[in-house]
Amino acid sequence: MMSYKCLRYCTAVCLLSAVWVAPVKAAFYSDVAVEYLNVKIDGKKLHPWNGRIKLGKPLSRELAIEAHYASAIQDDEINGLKLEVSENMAAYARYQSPDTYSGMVMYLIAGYAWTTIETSGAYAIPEQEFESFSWGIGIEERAQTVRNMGYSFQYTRYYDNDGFTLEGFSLGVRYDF
Amino acid sequence: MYAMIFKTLDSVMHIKSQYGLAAVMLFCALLFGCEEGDPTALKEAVNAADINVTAISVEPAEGTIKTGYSYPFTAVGHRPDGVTVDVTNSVTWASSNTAIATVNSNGVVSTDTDGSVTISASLAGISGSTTLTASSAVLQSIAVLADTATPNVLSVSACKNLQLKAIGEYADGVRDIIPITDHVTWSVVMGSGEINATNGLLSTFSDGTISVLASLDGVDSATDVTATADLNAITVTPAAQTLAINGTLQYTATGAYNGNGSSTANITNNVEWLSGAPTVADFTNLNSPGLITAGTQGVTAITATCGASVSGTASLTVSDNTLDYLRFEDGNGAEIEVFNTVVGIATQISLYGHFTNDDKVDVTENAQWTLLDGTVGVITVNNSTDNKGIITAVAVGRADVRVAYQQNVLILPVNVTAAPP
Repeated sequence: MMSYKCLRYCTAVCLLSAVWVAPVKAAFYSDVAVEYLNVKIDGKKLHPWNGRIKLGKPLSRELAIEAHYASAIQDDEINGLKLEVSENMAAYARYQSPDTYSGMVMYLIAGYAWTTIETSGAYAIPEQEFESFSWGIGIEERAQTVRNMGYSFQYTRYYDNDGFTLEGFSLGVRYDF
Repeated sequence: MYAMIFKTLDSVMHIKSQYGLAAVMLFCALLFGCEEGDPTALKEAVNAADINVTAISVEPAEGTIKTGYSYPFTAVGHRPDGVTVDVTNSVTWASSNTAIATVNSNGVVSTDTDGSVTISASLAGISGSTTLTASSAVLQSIAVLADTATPNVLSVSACKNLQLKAIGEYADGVRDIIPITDHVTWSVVMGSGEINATNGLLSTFSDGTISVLASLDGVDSATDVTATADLNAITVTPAAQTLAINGTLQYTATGAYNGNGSSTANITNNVEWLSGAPTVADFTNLNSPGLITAGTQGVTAITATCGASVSGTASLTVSDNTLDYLRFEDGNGAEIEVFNTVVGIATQISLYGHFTNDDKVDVTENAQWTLLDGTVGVITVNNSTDNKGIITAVAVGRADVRVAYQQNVLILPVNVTAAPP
């Protein structure tokens, strides 16, 4: 397993720097979503749910930076072992297709994610923390009736190493400030 | 410094989008492969939950082992529904004192010096343990038991095998719970039987009493094992066969037993094989019971005997002709070069040996029928006695059947097409 602890700070510095130099006219946007998680551990699957909020800042028509925060809203269990992704934080660079007349854009995100997993009940173990390069792909569509609003669907891969995979499918509502 | 970084980023972010995309890709390349965290504990917990064990016990429970010996321990997981499951390879093994004994990841404990240690097995917070004593005490006697659910019952049906185990009893009054079977030298001193000198597997050749000797460190222990007379009959296969001069044939003896529910067993290795006319054919290979080699032209009676009263017979004809060729034939005697069939149909394919004097012998039951490589799922090939050579088409496709007879190997291509609507 590669270990580049300094890179988490590099990520933060890069993204903050990008905000710093972004044009003043650029606005912020947010996205509130529910996320269905797929936790695969040694071939066993659990599916807890998280609530997630995303804050983003466009840097140009195609580029943006985003910060994600998610917290557990429902755990899943296997024979008495309850598992939840209690906290998930991530910082991403985002590249999106140009906005078309249809109002739909497709985007890719790449960055770094920090995940905390908690277990309870039988076989419970102390809190476990993971962090990793993370990526995702999604689509957004502008709402036809409400200005500044849209809907999003996103797939995100948070962690994939040594028999442990964490990925999520989220459905959210976006608002541009 | 920061001003320079910001200026650089500013220029990157504001110029054309392709440069922006390149910046994102560079960003990804920097981060790709970075990760922190060890999922070992998480995997252990989920695996334990999946197995659903609520308690673990280590077997054998509390035992003594001679210092210097090794023994494989077993971890047993107990589920809430009462079912037990072997978790030996899932648990983490530990010894409380590695100077006395060490334990590897498979539960094999090796002792180095005298003393007591706790051997524990843990899985996601659930653990079990046992106390092991390593002792250099002088061996006083050896107890010989059956390695079965009823260890004190030292009896077995005639012409069957019985696994024995040895337990050490020491001068300080300690008795091994951990067997020393593999350290004892085994021998048969009386009776009709044979025992593997290193692992204690006893083969009986008749009914009656067999006296077994277990020896270690100058200590001998003689134990009687009873071979019970519940063998009812012996069937020898093939019952009638023609063999070319210098050809070989493997016979099989199947015993039919009385007692607790009649049963059969392959006793080829336990019966005595005899040829009525050894010059025609004889059993000369002592390492391959039931393997006969043809000598001269004639007919001989083959007998498989267990003890004095139970035997089975077969007839063997040795031809002075040599095998000319083999070929697959259908029910009409026509040669099959490629077998075409349709899904759902089972067909008997026969293998015939053609001899130099124009004799033709069906050797289907004496050949080994197997499916050659890949194409699993297209056909099945039956290689069980009395059903050999039955090919059943399962799915559309192509497959090859490998058929071995004596030193000859033939390949039969099979094409399976869909059944007509």
